[in-house]
Amino acid sequence: MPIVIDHVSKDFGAFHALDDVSLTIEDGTFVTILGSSGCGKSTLLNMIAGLSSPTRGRLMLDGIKVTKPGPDRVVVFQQPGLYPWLSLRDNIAFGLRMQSAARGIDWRRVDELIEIIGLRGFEQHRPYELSGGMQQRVAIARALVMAPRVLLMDEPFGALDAQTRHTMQQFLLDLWDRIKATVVFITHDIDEAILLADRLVVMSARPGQIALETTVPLMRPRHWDMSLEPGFLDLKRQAMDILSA
Amino acid sequence: MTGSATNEANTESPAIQADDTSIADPAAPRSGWRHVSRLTTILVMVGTLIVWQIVSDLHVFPPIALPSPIMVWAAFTRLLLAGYGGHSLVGDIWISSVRIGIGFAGAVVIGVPVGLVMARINLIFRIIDPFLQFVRPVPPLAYIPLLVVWFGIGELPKILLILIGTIPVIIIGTMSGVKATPPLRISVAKTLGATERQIFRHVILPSALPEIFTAMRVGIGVAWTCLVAAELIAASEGLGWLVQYAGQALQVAIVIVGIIIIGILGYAMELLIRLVERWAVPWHGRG
Ligand SMILES: Nc1ncnc2c1ncn2[C@@H]1O[C@H](COP(=O)(O)OP(=O)(O)OP(=O)(O)O)[C@@H](O)[C@H]1O
Ligand SMILES: [Mg+2]
Repeated sequence: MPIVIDHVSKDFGAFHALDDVSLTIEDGTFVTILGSSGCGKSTLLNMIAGLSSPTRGRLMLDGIKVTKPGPDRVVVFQQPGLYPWLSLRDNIAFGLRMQSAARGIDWRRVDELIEIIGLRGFEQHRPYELSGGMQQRVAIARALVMAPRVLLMDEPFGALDAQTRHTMQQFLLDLWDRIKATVVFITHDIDEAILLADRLVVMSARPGQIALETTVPLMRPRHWDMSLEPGFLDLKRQAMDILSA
Repeated sequence: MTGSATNEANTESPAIQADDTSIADPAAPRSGWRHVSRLTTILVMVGTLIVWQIVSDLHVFPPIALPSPIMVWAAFTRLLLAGYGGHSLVGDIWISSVRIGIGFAGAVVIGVPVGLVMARINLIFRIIDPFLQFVRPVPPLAYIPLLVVWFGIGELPKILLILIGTIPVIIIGTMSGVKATPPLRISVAKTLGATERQIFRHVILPSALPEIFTAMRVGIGVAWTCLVAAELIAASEGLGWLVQYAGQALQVAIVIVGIIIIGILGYAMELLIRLVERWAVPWHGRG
C-alpha cells in the first residue's frame, strides 16, 4: 500500500492552514507539491513525516496510521541541519547509529553514498568546512542511507544560489534514476516542480487545498532543456494560472 | 573584550602576515594595522611604567604609599627568593591554585548535570530555581562571615564560597545552552528515528557545549574573585592572605606584587579555558 492522505485538515487555533486534502502517493513515484509561500506545504509534509498530526482526517503508510516520526519517512529540510561536531562521514551515519548502536554500522553503505554524492576525500571534513550545496548533498545522503520507504524533501534547494540549485536538480534527477525511491518534494519554484516530477500537485492558498494533480508528460532521463518542450510549457501555464489566482 | 582580540592576533603566524604585506592584497593593510595596534599596547604599558617611576621619584606621594616600579620589582625578587611572613611566594600561588582548582572543578561537576536535569525535568526546575534566584543577587562575599562561623578558616569554607558563587553561573549557562538547541537539529534526529534519550545525548548535549564553555569562562572569573576575597578575610596562606598581611605591615610594594600576580593568574585561567574550549568545540561560532 502506498501513502494515503485521507481528507486531512489542519488548524492552528482559529486559522485553517489545510482544508480537506486527499492524495494518494504511489510507490516509486516522484511527487512534487507546488504552492506559493504560506499555502501549507510544510504543514502537509510535516504530517506525513509524523512531526505533527492532522486536526481532522488521517494519514496512512502501508495501511498503518502515521502517528510519530520514523526512519521510514526521513525528511530533508531547507537547511541542511548537519551536526557540526560530527565529520561528514559520521553525519551520514547518524541515523544508522541511532538505530543500531549494538549491531554496528554498515560503513560500506555509508561510503557508497559518499561516492554517489561525489564527496570522496571529504569524509573527515566538518560541515562548516563544506559549501552550502555540498552540505545539502550530505543531508540527502544522511536520509538515503536509511533506505526510507519515502523520502520527504521540504524545499531542499531553496536556500541555494541559482547556479548551485541547477546543479543540485540535475544531481537529484540522476540519483533518482538510480534508486527510483518514493519521493515527496516540496517547492515554490514552478520549473523545478515540473522538471523533477512524475506527478505534480499544485496547491492553492488560504486555506491550503489541492487545485491540480496531474502526471508530467516528460520522458526520463530528464534534463533541464526539457523545460522548453511544449508539454512542459503547457503544464507551466496551468500551474501559473493557479498560483496567480 | 580586548583580551580576545589580542588572543586571536597571537594565533596568526607572523611569517604569513609578512608575506601578505609583500603582495599587494586587501589583507595587507589589516595585518599592518595589527602590528601598529600591538605596538600601541606595548608603548602604553612602557609609558605607564615610566610615568609611575617619575611620579614616585619626585616624591609626590611618600615612597611608603607609592613605591616605584623598580622597588616593586625588587620586592618581587626578594619575595621569590625568601618569601614573606613565613611562606614562600610559590607556596602561596600553589595553595590558591589548588583551592580554585577544587572549587571550580566542583562547581562544573555539580553545575552542569544539575543544569541539564533542570532544563529537562520541569519539576526539578521548580524545586531548584527558587534557591538559584535567591542566591544569585547576593554578592558571594556576604556569605563569608557565615561560612567562617560555621566552618572556621580552613579549606572547606573557601571551597564552599567558590561553589556558591560559581554554581549558579554554570547552571544557568547550561540551561540556556540546552534551550538554545536549534529545533531543526532535533527535528532531523526525530525523523532519523532517534529516541528522546538519544536526542538528548547526541544532539542537545553537544549543542549546549558552547554555552557551557562560555559559562565556564565567566565562572572562573567569579571563582577567582570569591577565593581572593575569602583569603583576604579569613586565611593564613594564599595570595589574598599575602596581600592582606603585607598591607597590614604597610609593605605596599609586596601588596602591588600580589595584586599583579592575582591579575595575571586570573587572566591565565581564562586563557586556559579558552584553549580547552577551542579544542572541545571547534565549531563554536561556525556551526
Ligand atoms: N505552528 C504554527 N502555528 C501557527 N500557524 C502556523 C504554524 N505553522 C504554520 N502556520 C501557518 O500555516 C500556514 C502554512 O504554513 P506552512 O509552513 O505549511 O507554509 P508553506 O507552504 O510551507 O510556506 P513556505 O513556502 O513559505 O515554506 C502559514 O500561514 C503559517 O503562518
Ligand atoms: Mg515551508
